[in-house]
Amino acid sequence: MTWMTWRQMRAGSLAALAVVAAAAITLTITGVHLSSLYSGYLSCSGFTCNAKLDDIGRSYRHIKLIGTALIAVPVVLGVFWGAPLVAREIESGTYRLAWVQGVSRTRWMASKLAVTGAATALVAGALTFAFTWWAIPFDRIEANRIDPSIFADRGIVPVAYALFAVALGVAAGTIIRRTLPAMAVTLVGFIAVRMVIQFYVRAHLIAPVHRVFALTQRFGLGIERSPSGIQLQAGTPEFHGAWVTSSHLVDSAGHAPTSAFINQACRAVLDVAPPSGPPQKGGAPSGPAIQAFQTCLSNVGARYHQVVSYQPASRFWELQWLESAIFLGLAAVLIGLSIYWVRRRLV
Amino acid sequence: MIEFHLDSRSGVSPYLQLVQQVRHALRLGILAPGDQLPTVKDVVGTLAINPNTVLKAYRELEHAGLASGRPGVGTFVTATLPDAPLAAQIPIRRDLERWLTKARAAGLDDESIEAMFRDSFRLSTSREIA
Amino acid sequence: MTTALTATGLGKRYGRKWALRGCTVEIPEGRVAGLVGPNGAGKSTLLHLMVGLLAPTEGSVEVLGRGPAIDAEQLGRVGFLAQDAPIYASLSIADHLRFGAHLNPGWDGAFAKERIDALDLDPAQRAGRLSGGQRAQLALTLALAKRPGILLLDEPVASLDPLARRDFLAVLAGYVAEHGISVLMSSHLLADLERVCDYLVLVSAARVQLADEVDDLLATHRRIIGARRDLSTLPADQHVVWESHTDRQTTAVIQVDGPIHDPSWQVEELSLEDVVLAYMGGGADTGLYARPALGVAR
Repeated sequence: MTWMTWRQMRAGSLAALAVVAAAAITLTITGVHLSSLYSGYLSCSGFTCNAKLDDIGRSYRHIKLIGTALIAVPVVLGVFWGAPLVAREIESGTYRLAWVQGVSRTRWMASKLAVTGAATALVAGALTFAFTWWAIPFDRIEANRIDPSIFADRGIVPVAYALFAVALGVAAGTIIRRTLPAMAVTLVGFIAVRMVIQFYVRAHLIAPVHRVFALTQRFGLGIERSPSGIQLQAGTPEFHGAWVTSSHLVDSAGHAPTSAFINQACRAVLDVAPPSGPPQKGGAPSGPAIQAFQTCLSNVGARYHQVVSYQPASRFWELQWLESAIFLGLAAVLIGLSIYWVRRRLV
Repeated sequence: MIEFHLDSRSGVSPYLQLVQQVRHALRLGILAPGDQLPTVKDVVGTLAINPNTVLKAYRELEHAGLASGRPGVGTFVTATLPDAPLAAQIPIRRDLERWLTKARAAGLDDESIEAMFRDSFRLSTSREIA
Repeated sequence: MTTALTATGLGKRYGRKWALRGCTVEIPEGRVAGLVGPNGAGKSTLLHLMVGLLAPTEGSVEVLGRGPAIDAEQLGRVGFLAQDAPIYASLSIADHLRFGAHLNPGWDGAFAKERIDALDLDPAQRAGRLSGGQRAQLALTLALAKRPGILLLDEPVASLDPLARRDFLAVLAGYVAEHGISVLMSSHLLADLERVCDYLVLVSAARVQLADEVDDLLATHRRIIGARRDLSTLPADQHVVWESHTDRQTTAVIQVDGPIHDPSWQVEELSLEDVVLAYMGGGADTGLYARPALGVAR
C-alpha cells in the first residue's frame, strides 16, 4: 500500500522536489553571500557599518520574496496533496477498485495519510530549515523573529501549518467528495484558522508581560487632530525584538482618557496648529507649538500612564512549540474525523 | 478433434446441440472411438457458454454409452453410432405414412400436423433425458 | 448444497427513496448467475452491498458464508468488477499488477502476467490509453488474479463491441471451467446471459422478482395463445405472469409445472429473454416469485 500511495503521488512529489531543490539552491548561494556580508559587518568599525548594514538589508529584500512564498507552502500542500487524497478516488470512481482489494479501508487510509504526511513534513521542513538558515544574519541583527510577520516562516510552525492544511484538505475531500470544492474549502478554512490563531490566540498562549511606563515624549506620544477634536496615540516603547500586543493609556483606576478630558488638557494644541491637516511630523515645529505639546503631555501624564503588554523575544521558541502543538492537535482531530468518515459514513 | 458451434436461434437447448453435434460427427466418421472430445475449458473459451452446459452434454453422451470421462485427462469417444439399418427403417416409415393419412382425414392441416409432431417429439425427448 | 450468496430482507435507502427493499435470495455455489432488471432497479446497489461498498439500511447479506468486507481475508475472497471497469488512467498496466500484488495476499502473479501476454498488451502502456475491451480485460485480470472464491461483476460488457464482449465472456467462462468459482454478473444483454448463465436473478422495482436455475425457468414457463377468455379459469397449477387481450385473442405467459392439456391453447416455449421480459412487463411489481431457489433435485 505504501508503494501504491507513493506511485499515485509520484508526479506531485517530483514537482515539490523540484521546487524544494530550486529554493534550496537559491538560498544556499545567496545565503553564503549573505553570511559573508554578515561576517564583514561584525568586523566593521565606524561609519562603514552603516554601508554594510545597507548591503545586508538590500540582499535580504531581494530574496525576501521566497519568505513570502513560503507562507503559501502549507496551504498549497493542503490544497494539492490533501484535498484530492480521498476526493479524487471517489470522484473518479476508482474507490470501487481500491476498496475491494485485500486491505481494509482503515489500512488504506492510514497508509495514504502516513506517506502524504511524511512527504508534507519533509517538504515544509526542508524549505523552512533552508530559509531559517538563510535568514540567520538578518535575524541576528533585527532579532525580532517573534514579530507576527516573521514568526510564521521560521522555526517549526510552518511544518505544523502544512500538516494541518493537509489534514484539513483530507477531511474536506472526504466529506465533500469532490476535489474542486474541497480545494476551495481547504483554502478558505486554512486561512481562517491561521488568521484566528495569529490574531486572537497566539498573544495569549503565554500570559503576556505587562509593564507600566510614565508618559514621556521618549515613547513617541502622538497627537492627532481630527474633526472631533484631539486624539492621543500611545507610541510603543522599543523593546528590542519584542512583540507588543497592546499598548493603552490608563489612569490608576484603569480607565482610558475620555475625549472631553483630552480636548480640555490639550486645548492649547488646538489653538496653535491649523485646524485641519496631518499630524505634526518632521520639519521644525514652531515655538508655541512645542510649548503647547509639552503642556498637553504633562497634563495627560499627570493622570495617565502607559500600560504595555508584550511577548519578549526570548519566548520565540516557547510560542513556536505551543502554536505547533495547537495546529498538530487540530490536524490529529481532522485525521481522526477523516478515518471515521471513510470507514463508517462512505457507505 | 472437432469444434463446436451454437445456433442461438434453433430453439434447441445448447447442451442438446452439443450432443447432436457429437452424434453427427460420429455418424459421419469424423469422430472414432479413442478420439478425445474438446476439453470443457477449450469449448467454453471459444463459445463463451456456461461450463455446466458442456458438462451436461458430456454426461449425456456418457449415459448414452458414446463417451467416457477419464479424470484429469479428458473425455474420450468409446463407441460408434451406426445408423439404423435400412431394413429396420422401412416399417417405421410406413407407420409414419399411415399416421399422416389418418391425421389428414381427421381434418388437421399441415401446420397442425407439424405442431403436433414437434410438441410430441420434444416431450418424448425431454422425458428420455430426465 | 452450499450457498454462494445469501441476502435476508436486504434493503438500502437513500434519503426517502428505497433503492432496494426486502431482498431475500439464496444463490447456490458454483453457478454463473445473471442479475437482470431495468435501469435503476437496484442491481448495482445489490452488488455494492455484497462487496461492502455500501452498508445495508436493513437486513443482511452474506457472501461465501461471511459478511461483506468484514476483514482483509473476506476482501480477498470476493472479486469485484465495477461498472465501466475503473482503473487508474495515469498508471501503467504493470503498475496495476503491482498494485494488485501489494494489496492482495493471495495474488497469483504468474496468472496475471500470462493473461496480459495473452491479450497482447504492453505492460508499460498507460491504462488510460486502453480501449474499452482492453480495460475490461485488465479489470477482469485484476479481479481474478487474487484468486477469489466468488466474482461479482456490474455490467462488465455493457459498453463493449460484440467481439470484445465475446472475448470477455470467453475468458470468464474459461476461468470458471478451470476453477469452479461462483459468479454473479449483472447485464442488460440477455442473449449473452442466456449463453453463459445457469442461474438468474431478476430485480425490478427495488425487489427481487425471480431467482431460479435457468433450466427450470425455461422448463416451467410457456407462452399460450388462444381465443379470448378470462384467465382465472386456468387450472390451479398454472400461474399467469403476463397477459394481453385483444377483442378476439388472449396471449399469456404462464408458469406451469406439468404439461398443458387444454387443446384450445397454442403452446410455445420461451427464450430466457422472453421470460425476463414477461416478468418485467408493464413495469408493475408482480410480487415475489414463489419458486424456492433450492428446489427438489431433478
